[in-house]
Order: sequence, then structure tokens, then C-alpha cells
Amino acid sequence: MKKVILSAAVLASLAISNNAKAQLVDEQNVTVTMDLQPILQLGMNGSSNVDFVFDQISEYVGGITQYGATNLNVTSTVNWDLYAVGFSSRAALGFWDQQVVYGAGTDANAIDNLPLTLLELHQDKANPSVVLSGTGLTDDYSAAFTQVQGGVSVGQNNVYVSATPYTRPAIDAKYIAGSFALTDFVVGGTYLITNASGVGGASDYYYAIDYRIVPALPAIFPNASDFATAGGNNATADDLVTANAAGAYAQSGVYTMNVKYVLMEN
Amino acid sequence: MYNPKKILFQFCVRFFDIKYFTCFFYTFSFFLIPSIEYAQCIPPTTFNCDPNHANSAIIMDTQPNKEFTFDSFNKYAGGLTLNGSTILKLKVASNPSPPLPCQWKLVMYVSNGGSLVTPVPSEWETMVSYGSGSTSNKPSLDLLQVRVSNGCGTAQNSGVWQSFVNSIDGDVIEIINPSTLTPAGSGTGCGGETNGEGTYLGVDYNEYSFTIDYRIQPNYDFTPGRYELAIKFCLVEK
Repeated sequence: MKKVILSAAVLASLAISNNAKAQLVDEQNVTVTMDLQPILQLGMNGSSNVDFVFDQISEYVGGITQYGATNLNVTSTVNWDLYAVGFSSRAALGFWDQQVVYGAGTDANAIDNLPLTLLELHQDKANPSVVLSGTGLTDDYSAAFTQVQGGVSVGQNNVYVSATPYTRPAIDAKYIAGSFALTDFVVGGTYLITNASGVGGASDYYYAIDYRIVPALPAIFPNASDFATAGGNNATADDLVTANAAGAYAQSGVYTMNVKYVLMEN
Repeated sequence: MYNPKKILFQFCVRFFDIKYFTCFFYTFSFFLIPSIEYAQCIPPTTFNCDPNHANSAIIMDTQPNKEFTFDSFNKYAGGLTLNGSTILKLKVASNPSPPLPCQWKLVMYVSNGGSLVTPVPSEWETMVSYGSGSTSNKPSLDLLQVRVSNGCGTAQNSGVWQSFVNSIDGDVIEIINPSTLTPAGSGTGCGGETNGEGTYLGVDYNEYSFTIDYRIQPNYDFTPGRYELAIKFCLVEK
């Protein structure tokens, strides 16, 4: 009798188990994969060659300014920093490359070691990131060019100089946007779409760059700064007289240098 | 009368030569397994619909893997949409002489792999991160938008983009879940939020088939990487 009851109980248990599955439940599954690939685009409008031809006394004295010669636009899906770096084949020494010498060029005071920092930049709006460099003179290139007649402005707008252009500038160097610290950056976005800072040229994703070179008379480039400290972001003069000797002046000729604009993930 | 404990004990001792508590543990686990297996598609308590897969089923012929690749700024800004990417076809039959008419519901659950895989239950599962990842902002589950529609507009919020608003693992969007039985229009038209017996085969196709569109508009807010989630469509007797 016990066996009969036990068997019945087992069978009943199995029956209950079967009933538990005998209900309408069916499913289908979908897997959704989202691949967010990083985009870091720097666009540049304007000629890739910016020529400064000094063939008038007024140009030597007053300098030449090229307004809005380069327009930079950024589209990025990641937080980013943007900086300019002055570069040449002699960047380790901080000098322009001399391509051609005019005249005999035998005068010992005719100097062909023109400092890269003689090039001044101006950006149309301030660095939007919260930055304050440690020992650097200024955070960016947003300060207006100083009047030539008012005196020199060493370090204020001088281009950042480095022989390793793709290495992130130190905290005391100028950035166009963002800075060295991981907490200083511009968030991802694009100049094409309205964002918190505006749209197009008004936004934090668009910068118009002016260039200026002031040789002065004699041509000693009085605004040049010492590239060895903070990449030139300091008030130590490096004009040709200071760097060489009294009577020094720039040797006539053709010189070239390269300004790299580097957009980098923060 | 026989004590159930005694019966179970005798059964275990006789057939498996194990003690009562061990036996109780295994028996309890045996009954627990089905509820774990269907942790999301919750089994019903009624038996009015025919569970035989040949008669009642949810059928998905479309590709189960949806890939959204964002590799240009316009895709980030404008988003990507996969229209008609999933098509579900239902057939639901009734048991012979059920106590009540057969009713069903159709719901979709979202899953990021569970809390053991993803530390934050509101985020997509991260497969890999791209770049330096100095800042981390992972996409949340409500980033995915879905739009359900069919020829009769029977789905809740038919034709409207929806998201998993609670943004947690296991969040649900109901497609069909009326409180009462709504029979099919039987070829004479649309029957509202149809949830009675019927099939996509034949005149009621528009009430027993569903098209699901997917859309993602990431903008520029998230850390680049490869992310994944799963969606489970459940057809359950109601």
C-alpha cells in the first residue's frame, strides 16, 4: 500500500512539474551593439602658406599683421585640447630655417638665427577652459597685439615653440583651448550645431587666428621671448641683440618655419 | 492520513539513499529551477492558451543582431535609425474547452547583462573603451529608442518612439497588455489592442505581426567604445 501511495505521489509530483511548463511562454531575443568610434577632426580654412614680405621701411617698423589668415574648426566626440606649436628643422635650437641669403652675408652682426618666438599669434576668443598656468605668462593668445609704438610685449602673443610638437605642452604653455590638466578641456561637440557656447564662428569650436611679425629697425625682433622657458610663454627677451651682441640684426634672406595646430584628446 | 514529509523522506531514502534535509534541498531546488529559467518572461498562472509551440509562438525571422556604428559626426549628431529591423509574428491558439478565453500579452525587456557584468545597472554593457578614456561617461539604457507598429496600430503607443525610461536592467516596455480580452477583428477590421487567440497567417496578419524600429542619437556625450544590450520579447498568457 505504501508503495502504491508513494508511486502516486511521485507521479503527481511529475504531473505538477509538467503542468508548470505547460503554459504559454515564448520569447525571442535581439542583441543591440553600439560602436561609438572616437572622432577628432580639425578643419583649417585659409592658405597653408602665410607669407610675410618685408620690403618697406614701414613694414619693418610697424610689422605686418595677417588678420584671420587661419580659421580653425573642431568636431570631436571626446573632450579635447587645441594648441599651436612653432616648429622647424632647427626647433631644438629655437630658430627659423634659413632658405636663402640675400647679398654677401658676410657681416658678423648679420644674424641668421632668428628665434621662432618672434612670430606672434592672436586668437579671436579666449580659451574656454578654466586654466591658469603655473609659471606661464598667459593662458592663450587672446590678448590683443600691443601697439608697436607703445613698446615691446615679450611673451604675450609669442607662439609656443617645441622640438616635440606632438607632445602635450606643459601646464605653463599657451593653449588655444583646453590645457595640460586633465580637468581643463573643451567637451566634445562641433561648430556646426548650436551648443552652450553658440554656433559657427561664435562657438568654442571655431577660432580665427591672426599672425604678426614685428622686425623693428634695426631688425632685431624685439617681441621675441626665450623659448627655453615654458616654450616662450615668459617675459624674458630674446631679441637678436639680447641673444647675441649689440649691433646684431637679422640677415636678409628667406626664412621659413612651420606652425602646427594640434588637436588632442584630453 | 500520510504525512507528506514522511513520504518524501521514504522516497529519498529508498531511491537515493539520502537524508531528509538533503532530499528537501534538492526537491526545493527542482521546483525553483523553472522560475530562475524564466526570470524575465514570467510564466502565467492560467492555462487557457495552448502552449504547444506548433500552435502558439512568437516568430522572428529578422536578423537578431543590430549594429549601430557611429563613425562620423553627422551620425553622432543626427543619430542612426534601423527601420523595420525586427518583425515579430504571433500565433496563439486556445486550449480545448478552457475555463476562460485565451488572452496573452507581449512585452519587451531590456538587459545589460546583469549587475554581475555591468557595475552600474543603468548603463549599457561595455565591451571595450576606445581612446585614453580620461573621462568616463557610459551610455545609459534609455539611449535606445524603439518604435512598435503594425497595420492595425494595436500596440500601445503605436508608431511612437519610446525608450526604457527607468533605465535599469530588466526595464520593460509593454507592447500588448490590455486588462480585458480584445478579440481579433477576424478580417472585418482592426480589433483594438488585440490579445485573443489568432494568427498572423491569414486575414488577421495586421493584428498578429509587429514591426520594431530602433534609433540611437548619442550626440557627443559618451565615452567612445563598444557597448551592448539585449532585448527580450516575451509572449505570455495573461
